[in-house]
Amino acid sequence: MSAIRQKLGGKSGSAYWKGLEQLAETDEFKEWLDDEFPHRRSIPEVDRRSVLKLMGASMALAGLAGCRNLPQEKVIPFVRDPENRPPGTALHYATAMPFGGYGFPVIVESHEGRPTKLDGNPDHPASRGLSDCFVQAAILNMYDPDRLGDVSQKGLINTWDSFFGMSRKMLEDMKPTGGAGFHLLTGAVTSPTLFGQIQRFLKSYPNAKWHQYEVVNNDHEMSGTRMAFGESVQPIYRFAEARAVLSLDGCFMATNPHTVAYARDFASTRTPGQGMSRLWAVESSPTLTGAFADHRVAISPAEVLQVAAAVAAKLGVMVANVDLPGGVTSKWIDALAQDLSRGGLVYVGAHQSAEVHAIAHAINKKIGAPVDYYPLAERAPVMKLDSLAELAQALSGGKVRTLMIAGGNPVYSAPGDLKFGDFLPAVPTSIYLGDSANETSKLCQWVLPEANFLETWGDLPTLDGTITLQQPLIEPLHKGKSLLEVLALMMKDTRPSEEIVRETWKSVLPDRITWEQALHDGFIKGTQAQPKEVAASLAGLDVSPKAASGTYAVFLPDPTIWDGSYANNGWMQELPKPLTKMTWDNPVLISPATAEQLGVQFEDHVQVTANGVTVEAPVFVQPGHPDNVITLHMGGGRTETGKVLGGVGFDFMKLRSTRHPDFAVVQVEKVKGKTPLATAQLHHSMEGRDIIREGTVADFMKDNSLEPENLHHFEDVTLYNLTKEWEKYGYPQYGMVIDLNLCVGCNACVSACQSENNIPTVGKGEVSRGREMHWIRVDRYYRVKDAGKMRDVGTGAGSPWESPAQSGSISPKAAQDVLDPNSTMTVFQPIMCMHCETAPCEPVCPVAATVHSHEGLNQMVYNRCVGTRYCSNNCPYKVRRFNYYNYQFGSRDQIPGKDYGQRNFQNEQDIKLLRLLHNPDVTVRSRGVMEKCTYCVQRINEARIVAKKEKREIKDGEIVTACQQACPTQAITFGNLADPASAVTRARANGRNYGLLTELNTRPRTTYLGRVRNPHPALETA
Amino acid sequence: MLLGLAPFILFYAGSTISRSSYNTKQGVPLDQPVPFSHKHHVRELGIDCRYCHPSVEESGTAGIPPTETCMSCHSQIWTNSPLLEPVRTSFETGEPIKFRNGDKGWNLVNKVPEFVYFNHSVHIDRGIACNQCHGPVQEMHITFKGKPFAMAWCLECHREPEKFIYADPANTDMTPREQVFDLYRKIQAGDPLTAREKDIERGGMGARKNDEMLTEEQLEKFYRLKKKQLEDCWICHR
Repeated sequence: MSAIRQKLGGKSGSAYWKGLEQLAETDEFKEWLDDEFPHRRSIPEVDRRSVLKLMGASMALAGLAGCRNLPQEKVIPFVRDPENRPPGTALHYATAMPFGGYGFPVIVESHEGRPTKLDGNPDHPASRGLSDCFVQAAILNMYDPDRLGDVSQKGLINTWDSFFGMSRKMLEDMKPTGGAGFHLLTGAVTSPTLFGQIQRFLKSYPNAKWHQYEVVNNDHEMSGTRMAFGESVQPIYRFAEARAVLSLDGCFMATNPHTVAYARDFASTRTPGQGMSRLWAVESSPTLTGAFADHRVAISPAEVLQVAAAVAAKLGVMVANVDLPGGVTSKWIDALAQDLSRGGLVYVGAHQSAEVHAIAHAINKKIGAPVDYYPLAERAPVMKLDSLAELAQALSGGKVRTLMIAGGNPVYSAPGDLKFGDFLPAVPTSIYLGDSANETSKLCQWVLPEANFLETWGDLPTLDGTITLQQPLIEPLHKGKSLLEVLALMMKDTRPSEEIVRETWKSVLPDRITWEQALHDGFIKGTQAQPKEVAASLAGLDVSPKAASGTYAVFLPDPTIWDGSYANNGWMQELPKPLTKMTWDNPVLISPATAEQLGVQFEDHVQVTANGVTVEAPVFVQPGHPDNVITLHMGGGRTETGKVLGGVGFDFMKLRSTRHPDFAVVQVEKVKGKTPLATAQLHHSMEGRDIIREGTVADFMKDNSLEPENLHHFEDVTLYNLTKEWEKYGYPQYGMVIDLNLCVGCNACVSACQSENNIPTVGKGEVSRGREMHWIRVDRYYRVKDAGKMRDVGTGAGSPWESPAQSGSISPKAAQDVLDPNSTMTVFQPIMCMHCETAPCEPVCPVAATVHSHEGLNQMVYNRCVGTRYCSNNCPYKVRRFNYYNYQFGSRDQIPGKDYGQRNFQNEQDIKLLRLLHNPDVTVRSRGVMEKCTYCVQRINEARIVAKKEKREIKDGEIVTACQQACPTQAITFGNLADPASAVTRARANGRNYGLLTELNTRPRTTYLGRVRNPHPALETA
Repeated sequence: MLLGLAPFILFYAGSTISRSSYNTKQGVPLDQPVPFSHKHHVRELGIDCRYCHPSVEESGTAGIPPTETCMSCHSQIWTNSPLLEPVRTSFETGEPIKFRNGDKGWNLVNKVPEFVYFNHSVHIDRGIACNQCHGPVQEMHITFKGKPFAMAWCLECHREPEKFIYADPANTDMTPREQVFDLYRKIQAGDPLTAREKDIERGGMGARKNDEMLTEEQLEKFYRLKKKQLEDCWICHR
């Protein structure tokens, strides 16, 4: 760190930087920038003769490879054709995906009976067709070959029949005691049908106990609302109506069950101009919300209460005299309070204390914020941590005769002081129902395979209570059963589960027609709960600062693998985490100043001690992270997992205690050791200026432009001209516009693209060589807050080829500010193939494997590609991806280094299963082939064929790319640029529109709309 | 001298073999579980193609008929024929049709390579007759591959659609799709055929003479077909 500071001294660099390595211009960064294929070996020195011999031999062999008779294929017809399902066409069904206990409405694409892709349900208000990366990657969980396949008892394969025989006899024996000693542990139960089953069970066995536990839970939200209103309610925020939002240590754009709707609603208020909303963020760990904020301060998690109290006092909600934490001035609070009083709302993160929640609700009530209070969607709301602690106590007291755990992984995820795993083996009968083998199943006697949500019936409410129906898309792949089915069968109820679910809704959906209509819609209309009237009072609330001194650790769910439930999902492990761009690992995040203090750098080990537990892990230096705070992402370091994972990551779960499950004071020490981490933050760096355009709203409104004032305009000179062709025959000309002002960096697009286009994962080792295959990446840039004017290109910018990376220079003061967490600003920029009209990749291909289509698409022809990689080398946007190995499932390629990933599935059975996941409309690429974004050409072709058959032109908005469909803020617009009325043409006419590296005369078809921030006029410019 | 020519001779021999029916399997009848005759069902009985291949107009694939389709007639006629034993067994057991040796399904006769995304429905809709790609199906006793299915062969038409499209823009009573199926009606009914239609009936490409060639405007207007685009790689490969 001191090296960085030293190098920064008196130096002027780019105003936008990807990582501290870039800022300090380390050799590492230079290598990533200069070389398209870094870390490669040079060609061994050979003489001319050998080269010719080798070339001749390989050409002869290449020719011979084509000389073989292909085996005769069989085609197997149905005996009876299913109705309404012409072969070769996809069908779509509505269902619900459970996440954290709540339902998320999805539409499933099904090809010949196998589900291949999930998207949001467009008719459902909680999704409106949009989704996030958790929805996109959930399909891979279903096809995970590591899912539990058999019923087993004490490690030996058994049958469902013998389990039900045993359990029925056990329940029979329990009758006299009323089920004393029987404990059931489930996740948060919101499903009315499942709740009905559990109630039925508890009625027959009144002494049996039922516990609910979720790692990421709403305990504080519940006790916070109880503190403020006297009862626990579910607040739902109407972000579309808020003119200012204060987020207190919460990320409503990524970590809320209602996140997709929230992100969409909030994005709708961000149109630059009069009335653009303002986002204020106070946070203890960098989040997407903080990155998006107009004003952001980074403080310790315990200090958030002080800020909340200060705002409340300013607004007259309560009397409090608190010290403001560093970085927060009274001027800041004044401006914030002024904004809030003009129609704002306050949102609090789930992990913040109940007091902060209570204060926020009181503020919201006082200022008349657009918030509705619904009854809790949970059927039997309990404090999750207390409920688990109660079970742990019974376990340690030896009072548990039978323990049935349904889902979750408490042995891994319970707070360390409960020592959950220690007492579990002593339970006389333990039953685990779950989808995969894990730390908990290992300690249980009976292990039962749980059916995936795509294989079962159910009913799950969204946060507002709307019942979203779950219908099976496929027979259970591994003979699994849902908890609903298992409970019913244990109680000798042998009805099919569809009937059990239908019975719950008999009164609303009396006949087959209404039931099928509800299944078609995906939800039952009119089941949304009625908002409650509540009155807030903060009487008796203690807001005296309880902040202990020392280093705080914040425990947060991992941005991709969540609480560990996506740990065996290769897509999620390899999805670069939004801010760190880390893959496959969850290092300790610390601020640059804290790193300097500890004397550690990227990848150096630290030892974190809390609660009597010590964990050693490498660090990641995160700009914008508050000082003296570390972020620990939960979900990594699993020991009992499938083949994908093999123990990657670090387990911070045990550092949590029941008293401090969310943030706690910890000891952090530097220790010897280093773990290589695979971060993609420097990969595919672009060299050029004016990559990001950003300005304040006032700045933009002045001249309706974000162009740098001294930008050199380049003439659009070209000899390449397709114009006449378009005009005469009306070829559509496809293009895309991405609004940086709406992009929150959530990764939904990356995940959606992976699912749609059969993109493989490559493993940690290959990622660190820069070989990740994602067709779309989300670049994350940092900027120092007051590094000169945002719209200044910098002095003496001559030819862009002579002065790379010169998009403005930073002052020596700003160089110091790099280490100040409050002055770090973040911008996201999704990058995929730009489909340049004069694509630099095309002329360099020796075999014409990449050529232009008449619709303006830069086509990549896999069968022609011989793998010279010249195209990738000549691409200024770094969007081409090369298959160094056969990365698809079941590759026999020996890839160097310790590795993880989908490739670890090598046996025939696993490969067959994973092949079912592929989108049949997209080629599965093999080794030695270049690939890149196609603008989802399979969707374009499909729409063209349908339009031709219906004798019409393709309508605007008919073709939706996978990334565009998923994007929760609808930042991506796609369509026909030749149509003057299309949405994409209108977006291109926006004053914020600019192309990347247009000075190279590439004429990209994808352009960007600049980022606009809306700082408070009374505070310094953003 | 001879040694110098050797590579050229080898190259010529290799390319000739790869284009021959030995490699392409063009014209080679394949063994099937039931010796189904298109000649009997199409030519002699006059059954429409779409009776057994119903998805040809709506989907990319034409589909192979399920056992149920066979049994719609054969539960009434030829109910004891030993040749239909596999069909009856399949219908009774609910398992797909099998060869005598137990292999499931039919031998696949017409196949485009994996990297080609061919769509039947749009070709029918543009007015390409079945025989133009599949050969004289109505004359086949045992089905064989009528055309080589090589890329160069596909491109003959994709480069010069004006030469090969069967449907006639002068016939405004019928859409191109209707004209395709009307050709089969005519063949089955024994109606008089034009010289081009006779060529297509025999399994030719039905190439238009220079004076019958369609103009680009006709292609655009009548078939909604943009000629240049047909050569784009991503039309068939993606």
